[in-house]
Amino acid sequence: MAKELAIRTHDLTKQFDRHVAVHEIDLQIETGEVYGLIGPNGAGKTTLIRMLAAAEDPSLGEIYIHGEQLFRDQENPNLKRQLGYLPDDFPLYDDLTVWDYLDYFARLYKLQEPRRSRRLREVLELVQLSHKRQSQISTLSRGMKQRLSLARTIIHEPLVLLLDEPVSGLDPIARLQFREIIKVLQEAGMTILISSHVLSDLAELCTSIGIMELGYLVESTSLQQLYQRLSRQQLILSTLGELDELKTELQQHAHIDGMEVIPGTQRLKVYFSGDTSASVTLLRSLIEAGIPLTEFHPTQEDLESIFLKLGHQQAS
Amino acid sequence: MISNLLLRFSDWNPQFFREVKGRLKPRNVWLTAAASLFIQALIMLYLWVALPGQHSPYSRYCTGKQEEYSTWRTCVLDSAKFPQIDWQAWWFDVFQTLSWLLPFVVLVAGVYMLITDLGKEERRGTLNFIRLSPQTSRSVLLGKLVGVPLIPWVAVLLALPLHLLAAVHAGVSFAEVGSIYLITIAACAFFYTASVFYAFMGAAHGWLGAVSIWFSYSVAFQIWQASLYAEPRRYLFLGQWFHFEIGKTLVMFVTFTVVTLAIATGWNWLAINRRFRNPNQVLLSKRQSYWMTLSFELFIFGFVFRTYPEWGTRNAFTDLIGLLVVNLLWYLLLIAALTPHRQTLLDWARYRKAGVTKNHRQQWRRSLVRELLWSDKSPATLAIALNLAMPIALFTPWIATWNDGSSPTEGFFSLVFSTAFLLICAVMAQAILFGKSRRRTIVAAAVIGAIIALPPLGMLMVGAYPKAESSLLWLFSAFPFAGMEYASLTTIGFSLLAYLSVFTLLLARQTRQLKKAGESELKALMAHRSQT
Repeated sequence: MAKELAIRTHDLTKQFDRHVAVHEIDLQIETGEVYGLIGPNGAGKTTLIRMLAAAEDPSLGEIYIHGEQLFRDQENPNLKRQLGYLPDDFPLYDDLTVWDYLDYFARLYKLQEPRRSRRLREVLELVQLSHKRQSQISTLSRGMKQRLSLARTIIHEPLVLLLDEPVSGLDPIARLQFREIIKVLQEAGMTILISSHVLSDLAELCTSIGIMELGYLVESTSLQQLYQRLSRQQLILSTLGELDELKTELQQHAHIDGMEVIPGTQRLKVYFSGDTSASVTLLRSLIEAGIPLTEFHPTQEDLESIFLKLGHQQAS
Repeated sequence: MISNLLLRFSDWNPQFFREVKGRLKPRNVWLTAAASLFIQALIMLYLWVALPGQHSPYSRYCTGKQEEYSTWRTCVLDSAKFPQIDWQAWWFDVFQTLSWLLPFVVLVAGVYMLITDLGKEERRGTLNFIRLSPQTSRSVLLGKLVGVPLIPWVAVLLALPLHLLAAVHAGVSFAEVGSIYLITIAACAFFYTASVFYAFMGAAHGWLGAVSIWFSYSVAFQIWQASLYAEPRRYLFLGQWFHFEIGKTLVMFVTFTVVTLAIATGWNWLAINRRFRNPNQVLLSKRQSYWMTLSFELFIFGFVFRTYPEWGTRNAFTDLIGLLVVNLLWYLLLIAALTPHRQTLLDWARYRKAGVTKNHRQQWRRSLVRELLWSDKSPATLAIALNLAMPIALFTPWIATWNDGSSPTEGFFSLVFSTAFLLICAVMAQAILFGKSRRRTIVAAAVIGAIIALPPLGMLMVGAYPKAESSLLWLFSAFPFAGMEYASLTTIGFSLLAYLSVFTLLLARQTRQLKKAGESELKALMAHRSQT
């Protein structure tokens, strides 16, 4: 039986002047998925997310969150409780402390004591800001502000989380922290729609991927299917001996579609079309041929390569 | 128990609680308290210095004979050779100063803070997060209205003991003191909601709001000062409304003022709630605008029906001019609040035919006229025309019955020309707001402001005062009544035709633009291809 859809749109369109930013999109995201939205700048990702968050009026089309239609000019209290939205610019109130800021939003989302304080402590711990609870927001670093914004977005335990470029401008450690938090939220059962230019992050987090270009959703599929369809299997090999010797040995084997030296290393990237047993056979034959192998591991083409292969230009 | 109460109170309105937390910080409270006490001390000190000394022959606060044409009295010395002081008069001055200052502080500072705060939240995008919460717009806006101006209210509350003490010593009745408080609260409700309305119109100039309130308050205060010498003499005074003597008793006056402000606040409240829920909507729905205009027209029309004092001369035409000038301001506000911007009109023109809208209630038979009259996304011209028809319908029977020497024909045509001028303003505003300029709101305000102010100013500067030769020019201004007395029927006829032609041209242009905007991309593409 198919899973319930957390987000469904029908013919969702947004036109700015003569420019169609989002064009008749029929998006379907199942409950519990982490859906990565990728595409070049100006593809319509932010507009789509803003419409899903009821922050923008669609020109045409319908949005359903867990089967209930979203209308922007109505109060929608039930739907609003289900949604959490983090825009890319995450504005905050500088005159409040971290605790007061979250407390304010917890109250806006009608969380009652003692659950409110408990939830505040939980999210502060999750975003690793417990030690900053009494600090003024103006004194926080960008990464901390980003995490505080995420804490605000999840304070009411939404069922659907909409994150627009949540890691832009963050350093690698802050990004890592952010990824860890998203994983925890996914485990908690939230459906997450995340747009990002950092495809390696998305590859690690997402269960499904949607590709947008010129306002169209040109691809929407599970990450697994995307890899199956478009990713070539690769083997990474390195040797203590000569690379040419290894290359000559490899050329004698079937299932080898091509190979290239990874620049700046003594390693080879080999495009391999065989299955697991074929790779075992290859490894055995290389050892028997006396190649002093130091590394042999199968890997896949990453999301960025697939994206580029599809003919899209991705600004990383 | 106190913490329990505080807890329940903070759960009642999170927005208000947030404002309390952000604004009532100990440092702010101490500074406010110090400023409030300092100003009170300064007032007392100033009036203390004004008390007569041992050698003062006259003073406002002496108890002797009052000087002719003056409020000053001769000083009578007591046994210790000090002048006897009329303490009641002195305390009355303290009371009067505070009665002027306290409403002034909460009004001016409150309006400034509300406009600045909401402008800042809207600009930074933080208001969006509040919008996305399940709180009702009523709860959030109430929290803002009460919470944002907390600091001036704290300052004023600290001055209330002195105000009450002064009232007791000056012998001012409790009813009058209570009336001042009641009217201040009602005025705050109106001006605070109006400032949110102003901020939601896209303006974030707190100082402009504050200056406007300063100006309005000063005018109102001057009117009150002038009416001090009217009979019956009382602290607060107003004339008649539909021959109903609203100034006769304090209760009637207070009731009239509070009810008027309450109705106006109610209209503002509906508009700001609507705009808060969806900032892309126009401020007023067309349906609301009809009711608002009707109530406003009835309100201002009421002041025409009054008994004239014996020394005054009745001139109905002057009354009509008053109505038309007030209406000019009203309709400009209405045009700003009703006219949709480019994106809304594009969506309307482009997707109206699709028959599917977000709002399932709107999935019904659509006729264009019905949409132009009721739908909030359609162009506002027809709706403004309907609004403009109201004063014509309301005032014409009154004009027809003029019997004090004013010419009903001149009156009627003044009304018609004012309406025609405003209609042209409405179509022009719609045309500019449909334009591509990013600063279209400012451009629209500047253009409309210019066509209202510049022609009369220009004519006055070149000496083209209203008279027979220049009457035609005045008929095309925002103040057509100025030239009406000198205009011949032929001039009036030709001018009306000219108005009609301009209006038709502008309307035809608007219709063409909307039709073009409504074309599908395919059609536009095909048209482009066939041209090339």
